[in-house]
Amino acid sequence: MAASSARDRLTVIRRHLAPHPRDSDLQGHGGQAEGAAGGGDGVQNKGIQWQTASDTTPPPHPHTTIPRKRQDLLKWNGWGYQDSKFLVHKEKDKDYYVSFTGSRYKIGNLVLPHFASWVKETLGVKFDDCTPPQPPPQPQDYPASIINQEFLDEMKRLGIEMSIEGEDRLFRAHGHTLAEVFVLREGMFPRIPDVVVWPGNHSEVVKVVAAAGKHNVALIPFGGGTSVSGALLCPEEESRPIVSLDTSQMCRILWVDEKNLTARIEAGIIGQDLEKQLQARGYTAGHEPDSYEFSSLGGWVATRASGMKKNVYGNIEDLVLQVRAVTPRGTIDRYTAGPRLSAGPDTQNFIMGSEGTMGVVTEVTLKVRPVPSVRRYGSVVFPDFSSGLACMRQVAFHRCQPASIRLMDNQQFKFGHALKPPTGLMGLLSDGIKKIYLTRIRGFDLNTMCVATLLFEGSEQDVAQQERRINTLALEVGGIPAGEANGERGYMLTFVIAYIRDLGFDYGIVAESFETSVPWDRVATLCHNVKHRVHSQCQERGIKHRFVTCRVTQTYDAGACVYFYFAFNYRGLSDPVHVYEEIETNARNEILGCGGSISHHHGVGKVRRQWMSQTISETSLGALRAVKQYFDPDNIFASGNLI
Amino acid sequence: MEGAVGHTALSEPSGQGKPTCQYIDLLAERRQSSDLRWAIREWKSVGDYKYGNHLTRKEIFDHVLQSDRVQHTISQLVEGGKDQEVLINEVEEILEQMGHTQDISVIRQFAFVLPKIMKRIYGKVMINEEGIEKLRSTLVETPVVLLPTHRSYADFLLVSYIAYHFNLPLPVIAAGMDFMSMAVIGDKLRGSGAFYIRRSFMDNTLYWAVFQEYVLTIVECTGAPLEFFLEGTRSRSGKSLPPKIGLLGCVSECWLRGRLPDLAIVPISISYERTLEEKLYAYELLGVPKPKESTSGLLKATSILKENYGDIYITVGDAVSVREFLEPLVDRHLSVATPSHLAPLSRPELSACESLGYHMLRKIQQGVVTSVWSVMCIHLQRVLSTGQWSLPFDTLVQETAWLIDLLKRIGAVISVEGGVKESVERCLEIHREVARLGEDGRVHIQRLYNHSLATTNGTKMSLKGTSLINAVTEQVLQHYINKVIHLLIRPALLSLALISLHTTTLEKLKSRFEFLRSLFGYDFIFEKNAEGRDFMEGLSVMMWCGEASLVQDHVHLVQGGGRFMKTLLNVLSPFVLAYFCTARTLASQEWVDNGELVAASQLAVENCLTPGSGRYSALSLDSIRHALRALTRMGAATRITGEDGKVRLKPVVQSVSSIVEVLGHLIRSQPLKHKL
Repeated sequence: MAASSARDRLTVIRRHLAPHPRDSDLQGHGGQAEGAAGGGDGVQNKGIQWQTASDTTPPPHPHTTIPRKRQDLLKWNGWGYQDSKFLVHKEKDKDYYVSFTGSRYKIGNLVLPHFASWVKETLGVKFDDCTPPQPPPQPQDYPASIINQEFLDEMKRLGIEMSIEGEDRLFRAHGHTLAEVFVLREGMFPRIPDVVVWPGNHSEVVKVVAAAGKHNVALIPFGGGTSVSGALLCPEEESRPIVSLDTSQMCRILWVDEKNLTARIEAGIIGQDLEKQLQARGYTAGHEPDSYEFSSLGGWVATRASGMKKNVYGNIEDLVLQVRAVTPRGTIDRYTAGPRLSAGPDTQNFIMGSEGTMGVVTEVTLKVRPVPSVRRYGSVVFPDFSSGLACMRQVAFHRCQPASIRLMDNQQFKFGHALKPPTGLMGLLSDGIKKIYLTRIRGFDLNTMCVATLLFEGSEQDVAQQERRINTLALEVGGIPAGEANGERGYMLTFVIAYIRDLGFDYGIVAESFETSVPWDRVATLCHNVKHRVHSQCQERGIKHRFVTCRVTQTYDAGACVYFYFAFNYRGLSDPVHVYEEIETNARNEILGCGGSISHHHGVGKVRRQWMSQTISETSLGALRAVKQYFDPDNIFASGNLI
Repeated sequence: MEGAVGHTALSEPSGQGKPTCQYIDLLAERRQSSDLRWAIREWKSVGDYKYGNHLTRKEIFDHVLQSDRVQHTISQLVEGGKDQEVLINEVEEILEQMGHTQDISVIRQFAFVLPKIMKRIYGKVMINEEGIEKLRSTLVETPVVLLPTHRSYADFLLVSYIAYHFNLPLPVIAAGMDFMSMAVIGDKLRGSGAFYIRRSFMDNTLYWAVFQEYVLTIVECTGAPLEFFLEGTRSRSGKSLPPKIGLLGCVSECWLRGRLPDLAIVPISISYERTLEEKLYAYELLGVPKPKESTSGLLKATSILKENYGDIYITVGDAVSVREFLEPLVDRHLSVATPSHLAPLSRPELSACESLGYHMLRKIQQGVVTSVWSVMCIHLQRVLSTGQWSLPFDTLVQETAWLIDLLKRIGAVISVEGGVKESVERCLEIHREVARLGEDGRVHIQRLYNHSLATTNGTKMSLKGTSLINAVTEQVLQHYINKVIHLLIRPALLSLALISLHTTTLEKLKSRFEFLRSLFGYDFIFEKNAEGRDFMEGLSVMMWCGEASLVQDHVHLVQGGGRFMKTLLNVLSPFVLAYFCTARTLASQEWVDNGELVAASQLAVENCLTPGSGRYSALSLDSIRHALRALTRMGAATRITGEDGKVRLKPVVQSVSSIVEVLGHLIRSQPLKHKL
């Protein structure tokens, strides 16, 4: 069982964590992790010394949730925190049941009575057929480092933190696509970064990039490591040493300008730290991608990220005022912090969405907002997906979106149901609504109904008004308000769903998500056609048990973002990753053929590169290549993403 | 017939690993129970599209009228000065005229009458049950288009009848307007699911928009199977006609514009052992105009009821996925940013649809069950070409058996019941009007020309009576030869190329083959961009039967061509003659494009023929028209509009004469000479 191998792992970690408090929400930053380096392989290990760069005075000591040795807190071969995961238990002489461990999430330490039967039914899981992942690699298992001694010497001379330890290198060799996690569990990447460096601020990045150019080593920036586009994978054909430039130590809020509601922030800060620190001062950036616990500000900029609450705060491109990035050619900067600029094409856009191919983001000026006084969840159930979609369209038409509004299809509705903690069947509906719901339930079919989850933010008055508008629009298409609890659970599941995949792996299930943006008039056909295509592709390959579902996660004036989840039982297939990739390729072809885009916010990376030429014209691609050629003529930023 | 025999296994080509197909007789059961009870039985379709909606006639009309496309077209026309009310009325009128109803009571009427007629004139109506069940499961998953062959009026209700028989969802059928005016029948067809479309309306934007939306509504919204004839019209010649891509393009749009995830196209091959219209077609192809469809015409045809038309074989083929076929050929992403009603199919998209059309015809051909009679006709025609009108029965049996064996090995499915001898006897009984077994043990070919039929139509025949005496019989034989010709055409063209070049390099042979393939490309169906495959298929057949050999990149003719090659060349010779005469006529002067050239070409063919030389089927206007189309496409003539507004065909001397030369050479190198 997965639990036993995890237990071994835990004892190792406990040793590492010994000097620290047990529950570590604000666990020690990298500097305290001295003892954790282990290995004794002679690598310098002096902890972070806040090298005072000559041009800045160091702001207060940064607090990072995630230590420099990420593997001390996070799973090395799966999603998220080590202490948070789904577990399968067997009751004596009874059935299996599933629970979620840890207390970080609301679902934590709860038994999920419906889940085991749901996975059995939907995905054909046999709980006695478990395939645990391989144990962590031994030092000799890692691909050998290609060392450029001069570069290492220069780093040493500059006093920049670095590591050539296998664990550190492996952790930065991948993101979280299905294929990558599968390799972690069952194999080894042919190529991983040879060195990891942790520059502490902008000027150290400048030095690292210069040294890389001088010694001809390749750089791949690393932020939160949550990429789902293969962006962090090392190109196999790269013969130069590959250096992972980990930005996590650049995690300070340099200043907050309360008059203009802006903040200058180092790009390595991760979402939860940014919010914690801003909120301590009464502000919020409001940018909450589903990965925001782990993903970094620089990563958001480099992938054109989108946050759940974009309706209030905007997507990253709306939030960012200034971007500072280091390229081999020099530093990209915009000097003015004026709210809008008419000064030719926006050169910051060379960096936004550049996915680490042009340079590395070091500092960003973000807009911030006062923390809203009220934050409330809500939900609406609809008789079917098309009426739900009609409501979404109306909400966008009237531009009355709350902070977030998401529509899940019937499959996902049922899935959410399966993750419910122990309550009665009607427990999903708050008491006040139950009666109305009951009187009308005859009109609803459990096999077609779907749910929209809502998140409101603002003053009490604003929120109440927003709720009224949404409810009115929902009623017009046959929707029924279904209470706060449903909504809250929906959003909580967003964070938890990523953990489910690791459980699935143990039992022969592979799962992945992919997303797109699409004009309104094509949303319905796109959802239908893509799901149909995935099903028919599965059928062709003899995949019997599968789960294909979608939700509309964002609305815009001219269209929506659609997010698909796809899982299947791969018992009996020889190469599930390949099969998955073939099916996703089919799905993406269908998406493009139905008017959807290559990506709404995941980015292109390596896995979606093949569709760039169907996204922008050859001339446009040529311009991108020319910009890359200008910034980085020697291809130091050699991730090979995007183009 | 031996009604109780329900199942027949047809042997398929050996070595291809396909299981033998089980055909069952639709009539077997009907011969033993009441037709009335059959017609009023409880009926419910099984296999409806899982996302389909039932729409009434009115709902379909509203959907069409409210569609973006029709609304947009109306507003465009209003901008052009037309009155909106009038236009909306026009749409409603078009819809009234077009729209189908699907009334189970009408279907039941047919279910009562059709078996009665079929039992009378047909022996067995055989269908591959496996294909039906595959179709049923496809229908559930995806909207389906049914593409039956069109060889006879009888095709019309056959598919609907099959649907009734097997409790499949009833098809909606696209029919030509000419049927609508037939009293009673027109309405009955409508009631059984036919909708009517005008023959030509490309220049009427409103009609075109309504028509497109009508088709899309059926396919996308109702999910009912849509049936139409890819060849557009009944093929008089018995060969497949080049596909018409209007309707095919229209349904492909559902996928091309991302409105449906996929569309399944199911080929249905209907093989009649004897075609109801065999003689009518012969006259028509020779130049007697077709009588207008009318109920009284149909009633006149009731003499048909006294005759035996043998068996029918129906093969429901495997579905072709529109997505799988078109996806590698088109770039859907180029049109997705335009609202779909404003993005007409692009040139590459139309071309891809055309490829799909040819592909489907090929699939249809592959489902054809060849009758022994077709094989016999090849020999009968050869006998005529030697000036004889009879041959010993035993010779015919031997020759037929030999060719059947060969055909089976190159992929034919042939309905041989009992031995070949019994089958030949049976065929001679069914086709006794064309050839019958005399008491002298010889088979006598009949002279079919009938003065009365030719003159009652009141049009002057351009052909001489002496020609017609031979021509009508040969044309009927040709009709049946044509039903098997798709199996022979690749080795036949290869033989033609090889005999004209003798020993040659693979490359030269291939280029000659490709020239011929392109020249005969309207008469015979070749898939687009499959030159190499067709060539290899032809060559491997000829090598396999030992009549050509490949030695170090050179292809040799073995002993000047064997028995099979001679048979193949013989089959092709009427076509070669027709094309040669047409090309030579075209080359002789500038022609007004009004049919004069066709008549002159036919005359030129006639002048080449002598009684006893055979090849009278070269008089077919069908082939002459195909030849002209091909010649024009290959640059042998240019189309110019003169000052008088008349379109003229002007020969391009250089290219037309080189084609004439090649064809002349082909004729001279054939074993049988003509007077040229």
